Amino acid sequence: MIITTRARYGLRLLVDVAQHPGSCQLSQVAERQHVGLPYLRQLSLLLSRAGFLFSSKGRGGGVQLARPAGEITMKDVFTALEGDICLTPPSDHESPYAACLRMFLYEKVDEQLGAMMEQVTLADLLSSPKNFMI
Amino acid sequence: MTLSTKGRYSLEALLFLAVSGKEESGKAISDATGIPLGYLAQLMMPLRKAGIVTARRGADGGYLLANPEVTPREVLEASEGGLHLPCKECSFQAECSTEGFWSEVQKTVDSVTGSVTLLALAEDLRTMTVGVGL
Repeated sequence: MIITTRARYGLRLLVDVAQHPGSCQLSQVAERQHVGLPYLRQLSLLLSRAGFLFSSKGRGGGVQLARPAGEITMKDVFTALEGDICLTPPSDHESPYAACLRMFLYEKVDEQLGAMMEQVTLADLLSSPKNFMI
Repeated sequence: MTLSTKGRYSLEALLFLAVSGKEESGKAISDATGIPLGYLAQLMMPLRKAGIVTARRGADGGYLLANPEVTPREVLEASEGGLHLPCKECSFQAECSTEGFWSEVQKTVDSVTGSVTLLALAEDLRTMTVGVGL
C-alpha cells in the first residue's frame, strides 16, 4: 500500500491546526510538523477550497478549522486530498485477471475503507491518537 | 492510497497460476497478464522466498503456486512488505496523532485481503468469463 505524501502531510496539517485553536500561522505549523512551508501552503490552499480550513491574510492572520473537528470525517478529507478512494486507478486495457481482482477484491477494499473513514472524524484522532479504535 | 504496481502485478500473476492449477512458464504468465517478462522474474523473487511460489529452472521450467489457498494479504505482505508508511522510522513518532489512524487503514485493508483466497478468486474469474462467453 502506498500512502501519498499529500495524504500524510495533509492530515498532519489538519490535526495540527485542530490542536491549536484560534488562528495559527502556517510557518508555526511547518516548524512543529517538520514540513516545508511552500508545500504546506499548497496543502492549505487545497484544504481551504474544500471547506476544511479558513485562512485570513495579513498581520494576525493564519489558518483555523472552518468546521468543528467532530464534523470533519476522514472520508471527506481523503476525498478532498486524493479524489475517490480507489486502490487501483481504472485502466483501458485490463487483463481478465486484473478485472477479476478489481471487481472481487479491490472494490471491496475501497468500500470498507470508505465505510471506516466515514466513521472517523478529526476529533477522534485528537482524542485517542495512539490507541485508536473505532 | 494505492496498491503498488509490484503488488498489483504479483496478484495478477498468481491469480493466473491459481486459475491454471499447474506449472506455467514465465512467458505464459507474461502473455496472459501483460506483465513484462523481466519484471516478472523480479516479482517472483520475494514470492519464492516466502514460499508462495516454487520455480523450476531450465527450458521447460516454470512457476507453480505452492498453495492456492494463499490470501492476497499474504501475497501483498511478501511483495510489498506492508504499509509504505515509515511510521517506525519516523522521528515524529512521540508527538504524532495520525499513527493510530494509519494503522486502522492497514487493518481494514488486511481484513478484506485476508478474507479471500486466490482459489476463490480463480472461481470468481471462471464465473465471470463463462458469463461473458470468453
